[in-house]
Order: sequence, then C-alpha cells, then structure tokens
Amino acid sequence: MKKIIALAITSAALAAFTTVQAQTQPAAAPPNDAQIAQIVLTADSVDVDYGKLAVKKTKNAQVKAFAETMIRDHTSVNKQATALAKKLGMTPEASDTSKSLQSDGDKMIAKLKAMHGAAFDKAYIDNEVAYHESVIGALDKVLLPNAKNAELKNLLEAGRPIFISHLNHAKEIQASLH
Amino acid sequence: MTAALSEVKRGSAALSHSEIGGRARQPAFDPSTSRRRGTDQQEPARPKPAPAVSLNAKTFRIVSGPLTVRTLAFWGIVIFIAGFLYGRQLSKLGTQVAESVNRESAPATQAATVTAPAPTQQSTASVTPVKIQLFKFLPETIEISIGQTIEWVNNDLTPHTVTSQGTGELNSGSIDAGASWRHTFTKAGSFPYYCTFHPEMKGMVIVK
Repeated sequence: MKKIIALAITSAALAAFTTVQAQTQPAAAPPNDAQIAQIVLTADSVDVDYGKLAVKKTKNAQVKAFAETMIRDHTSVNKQATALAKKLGMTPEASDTSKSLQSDGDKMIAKLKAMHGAAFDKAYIDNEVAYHESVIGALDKVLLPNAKNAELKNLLEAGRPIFISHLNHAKEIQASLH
Repeated sequence: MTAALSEVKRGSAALSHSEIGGRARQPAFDPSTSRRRGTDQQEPARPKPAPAVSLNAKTFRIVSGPLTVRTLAFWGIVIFIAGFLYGRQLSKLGTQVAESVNRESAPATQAATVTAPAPTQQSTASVTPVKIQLFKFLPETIEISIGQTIEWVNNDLTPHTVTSQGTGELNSGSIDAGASWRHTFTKAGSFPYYCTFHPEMKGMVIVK
C-alpha cells in the first residue's frame, strides 16, 4: 500500500512538468521571460510549502533539518528572483506550467497532510526527490534554453546547483529511510 | 578619450610657450618686413611673411622663420594627431584593466564557470577573500600566516555557513546571499570547515 502511495506521489510530481510539455496538441509556445520568472517563483514557493508542512509534522531530525534548508534556500531564491524582476521592470506572468505546478503542489499538500510518522517522512522525501528531478529537467530543457534576458539566465544558472544539492541531499535521506 | 583630450590641451599649451619663446628669440615681429634667419637669400618685403617651414629646391632643409598661422596650424595638426593616437592607446589599456577588474569581481548572479586556478592558494595580504560560489568554497584550500584574516564572501543565491568540523573556532552562523564573514586566525594549524546547511560543501584553512 505504502509503495503504491509513494509511486502515485512520485508520478504526480513528475507529471507537473513533463505532461504539460508533452501534450498531444500542437507544441505549446515556449515560455517568455516573464513566464519563466513566474515558474521559478511558483516552483520555489511550492517547495517552501512542502517544507513548512514537514517541519510541523516530522519527528525525524534529518528530515526536519532538510525541510528547514528547503524553506531557507527557496525563500532566498524567491527573494533574489523577485528583486531581479523588479529591477528589470518585469511583471512575472502566470502560464499553464506555473498554474499546474501550483495545483499539483496543492494536491500533494492535501495528501501529505493526511499522513503521519514514518509514512509521512518517506512520502515527503520521495516527493522531494521527484520534485527536484523534474525542476532540474525543466531548467535544462525549457527554462534555460528559452530565457532571453542575460541576468535572468544568470539567475537560473546560479539556481541549478541549488537544486542539484537538494536532490543529492534528499536521495541520501531517502536511502536511509527505505 | 579624455587622455587624448588632455594631450591636445598640453599640445596647445606647448604651442603658446613656443610662441612666447619664439617672440623672445627674435626682435618684435613685424609682419611688414619678413626676415628669415639662416638663409643667404634676402627676400623683398612682402605683405605675407614666408612660411616658417619651407623646402629648399636643391637640399631638403627645414629653415626657421617667423611663426605664422600656417606654421601654427601645421604643428598644431601634427601634435593633435600624435596626442590622439597616444590617448587612444592609453584608453585601450584602461579598458583592458577595467575589463579584467570587472571579470574578477563578477557578482553572484553571473553564470561564470568557475575553476579554481590551483587547489591550494598562498596569500600574504592582510584580508584574504574566499568566495562561496555555485555551492563551493573557492579556493577550497587556502594557506595564510598567523594574524591574517579571511573574508568569506557569499556570491550564491542561498545562505551558507562556515563551520568547523568537530570542535573548532569557525562558527559563522548563517551568511546571507551577498553578505560576508571575516575571521582572524591567531594560531597555526589546519582548520577544516563545511557548510551546515549544505554539508557536501567543504573547505580548509592552513595557518603557518
């Protein structure tokens, strides 16, 4: 049962990026800079929400420390991204991608809220692994290739090692929990 | 460009000096009687004095004479061209220096693929910088002398820490994105450290 839940959560997170991009309708227009900025902001704030829930619910010190790092890091990236958008006179713009990120995030929060103890810890960490994998994939395939503004591109490139670090950290904890 | 402009100004000043000097060398300049020094030929009085620079038909010789507008214009142009070329060279050098300074102080959001020049770096400056960039301490290992200070500069988008492995004197607390933290080392030894938020980030200070 637990395995099925874990699989469901993992695939839901992956769907947020990959399915939206690979629809059978004609290829969606690549995001513009304002949409890229909003995707970054949404991706960060969704992970902050996951982290806040984990800090409240977990009894595991490792998971708690990880969740606190997620909150700290993604809040900081959001602050820099917001400041950059303001500096560039850019209003971040919602897109199908950012909207489905948010709605999938909300659904996952609802699922995780209903869980407790070790089951919660595993589900949270499994989701973090899948989530960071899909964000890195989106960065490499969609956001970085389409970013036009040089400073926005720099921000995305500086953000990439953050997601790599988080993914590696999450995988270590995932291995210790299973 | 400003270097070129200042060269032109100096050139003009030099002209007025030589003009004064020229007048001092000769009796008062009387345009109605042209007198050329150092030549055998006596020219009849002309309303327009002969140019200061002229070429003898048989031998190429620059003969001196009274300073005229044409002379001034000639030397003015020569000095201006020389000054312009020299100034351009200076400003090219200046631009090169400015570019290399800009490259070295690349801010956090720059996407530089940073490669440390060598694993260990020796420093004799009183405050030595260590960059925290793209989730690495750069340089990873640094050697300093007793009494020197290291300043860790966080060029990343997220906070980091500089914390001693085990028991140790390095305990920066959270260093925000864009902020920095200094520590002065008063005893010799090896000081391994890491980032408590991102434990894969490691560094070493060697104090001699």
